Amino acid sequence: MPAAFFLPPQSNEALKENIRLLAGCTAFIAILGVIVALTQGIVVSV
Amino acid sequence: MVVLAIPVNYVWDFVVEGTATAMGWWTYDPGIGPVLEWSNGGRITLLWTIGIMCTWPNLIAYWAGKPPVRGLNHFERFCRLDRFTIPKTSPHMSSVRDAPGGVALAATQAPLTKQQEFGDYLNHEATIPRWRFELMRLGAWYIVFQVSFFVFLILPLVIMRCATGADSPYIP
Repeated sequence: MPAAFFLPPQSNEALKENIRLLAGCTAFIAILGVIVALTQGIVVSV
Repeated sequence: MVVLAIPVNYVWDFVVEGTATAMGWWTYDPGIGPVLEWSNGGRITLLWTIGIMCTWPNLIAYWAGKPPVRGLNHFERFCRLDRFTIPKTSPHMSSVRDAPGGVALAATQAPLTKQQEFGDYLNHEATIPRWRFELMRLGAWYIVFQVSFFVFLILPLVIMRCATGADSPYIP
């Protein structure tokens, strides 16, 4: 990923990328939530 | 995220929370999702808390922007603070020192304060009093932190606590 990607946006136009970013984060948490709900109650003892 | 956020979060969480739960300093009772239980009964969650911490801190770090930050970052643009700025038109102060004769000029120039140095580095100027603009920046950071924290951490936690029935008697 280019270093410029991490720099602050140069204009308000660049804020549009946040739509995909937020959608990705929401999807990640939702998928994680489903996995967690399905594995609820599993206890690994050490 | 796969290369850095998830491995770093897991290592950090297992060093800190792993130690704390193994020593009995705190525990997850009952814990959301699969848990690891130490011999003393202390529990650490394996997926949920570590998983959701892989998103919010990274979002915040990305929105804050990697230095050098010369313009408005995501927080400030979300709150439309660009309405109170104009692009800087005056020459960059440091360029004066680079100009012919700049050495002599620099020798007589009073040292810049930290605030002047910071302002000199920015690519914009505030159209309102600086103190007011800085206060608005603080507000913008505060609002984005609070709203995103609520949406990406608090809300998923509460939803999962209700959905999995992993309600704790310690949390009303």
